[in-house]
Amino acid sequence: MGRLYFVVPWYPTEPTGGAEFQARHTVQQLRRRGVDARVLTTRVADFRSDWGANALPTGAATVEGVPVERFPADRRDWQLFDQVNLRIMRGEPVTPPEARVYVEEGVRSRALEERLARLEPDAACVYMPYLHGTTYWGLKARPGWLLPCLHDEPYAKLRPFREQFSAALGVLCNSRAEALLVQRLFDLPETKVLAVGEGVDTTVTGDAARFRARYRINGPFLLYVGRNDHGKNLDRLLSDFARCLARGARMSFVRVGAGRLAVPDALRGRVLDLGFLPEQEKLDALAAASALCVPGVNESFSIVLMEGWLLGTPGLVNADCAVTSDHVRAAAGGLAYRGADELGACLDFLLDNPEAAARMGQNGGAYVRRNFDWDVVVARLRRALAV
Amino acid sequence: MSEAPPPQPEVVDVGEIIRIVDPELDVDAIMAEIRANLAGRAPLDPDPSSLVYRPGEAALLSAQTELEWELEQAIDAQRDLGVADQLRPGAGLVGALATRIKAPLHQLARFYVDLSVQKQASLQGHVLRALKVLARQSAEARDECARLRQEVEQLRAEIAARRGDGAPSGNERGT
Repeated sequence: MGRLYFVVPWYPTEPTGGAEFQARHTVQQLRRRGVDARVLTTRVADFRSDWGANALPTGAATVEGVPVERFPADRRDWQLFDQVNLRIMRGEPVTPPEARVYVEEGVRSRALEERLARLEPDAACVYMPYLHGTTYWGLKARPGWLLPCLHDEPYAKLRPFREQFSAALGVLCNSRAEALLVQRLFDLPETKVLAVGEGVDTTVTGDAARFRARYRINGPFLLYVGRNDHGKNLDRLLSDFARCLARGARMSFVRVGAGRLAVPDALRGRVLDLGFLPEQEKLDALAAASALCVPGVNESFSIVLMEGWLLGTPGLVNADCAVTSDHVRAAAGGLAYRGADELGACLDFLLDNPEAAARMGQNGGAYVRRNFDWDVVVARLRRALAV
Repeated sequence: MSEAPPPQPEVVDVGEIIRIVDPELDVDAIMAEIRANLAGRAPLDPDPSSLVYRPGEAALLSAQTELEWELEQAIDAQRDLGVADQLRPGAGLVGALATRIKAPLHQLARFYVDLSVQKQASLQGHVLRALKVLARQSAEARDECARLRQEVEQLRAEIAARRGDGAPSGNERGT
């Protein structure tokens, strides 16, 4: 059994993004189960840093028990990259040479590519996420698997990434919906695209009574957990919830998470904004909620939906999000609404049918334990990668 | 006699991700029923515009939040004032020739535009920093006002308590 290398653009000591956490936790869990998983990355500190600034030392290091090798990132024309990147983000068409600029002037390390080319023959590589130069150029230096963290977004339509997905030995997806998207966008055979899922700590516990006592909440409430900003579609949820209230919705609304999106006047007094909470208090909130709402349309997995299910709380998700909609259907663990009318009707249904709501929570818990317990996810990865 | 336990969900293997099928709970059927019921009644508030969060509208936000929001947006916009090359390569021999002729013209225009943008960015940078200072001072003044108001309220309560009946005087009623 050879070594397994995760190739990532950065491996920060304190992850902030979803893909960063996923890389960190996946490598750690693989190692706990006897796989010699390691990390190859650049000296760039993290996503928010200058991608051409080699802030961390070159060479081998150990980060929370994981062997990490860092290589200098190449100099780059960030102004050219930013110009092209902005146009891609806006969804404007880009020419093939501009798409090339995106992969050439993004984060790249020729030293890392040289290391990849010299890896031992029985080593396996996993490249993640799909939209960085370390993945694009790394795959050219050494074939391997792709763990793309793909969304239906303008980047996915760039020609270099079509080549990249075709060149990968296989694609490891976080959800069935992502696997279907990969097949649709890149015309790959089903056998090459595997939905392995993301690992979740299934031992979480929450104390509903403790949460209700601490925050003096007696009645039913809809819970949102996540960043308080536009990216997660929270503004739309607040607007939809306000419309439900106008017709007499019987729940209040609790939101948990950092950020400072303002509450519309119509909701003043009906939204309890708790801000960032310690992990256990967040879990207590999930256990106490009548339903957890995940309004985002660009979710790639939604750990919080899984945590809610593990604590017996039904999920309410946006029907326009392929990933979370597929989760609630596959789990029989909640409802997928579209717009304020359906949100209000779903809330009424959950309040009027407490047994069905409880069963949704239980089903969701079973779905998570059977699919996304770390033992299961690691077993799937080992089978796919033959490590 | 106790009731028979409800049937347990079975597990269906759909490749990598296992699906839960609950014989007592069909979430698709529930949603279909919800949608059918909704079809027969008037939609909620047909004009949601008054409830949508729109940054910059003072009616929905406190002035402080609006100020902070606009400053953030301005700072974000300030980071990227450049314009990418808009020249599209033409097809065929004529297109290639036209592209070669147009390219230096585009470069010349961009040269002067970039110079102007640099100066504008410098000016806007100063303005934004000044606005941030003002925003901070405004926040401090607001906090100070809130503190003083609280003190006034406390003093009023103390005065009322010393008077014995707890009721405000005639002069205070209208305040």
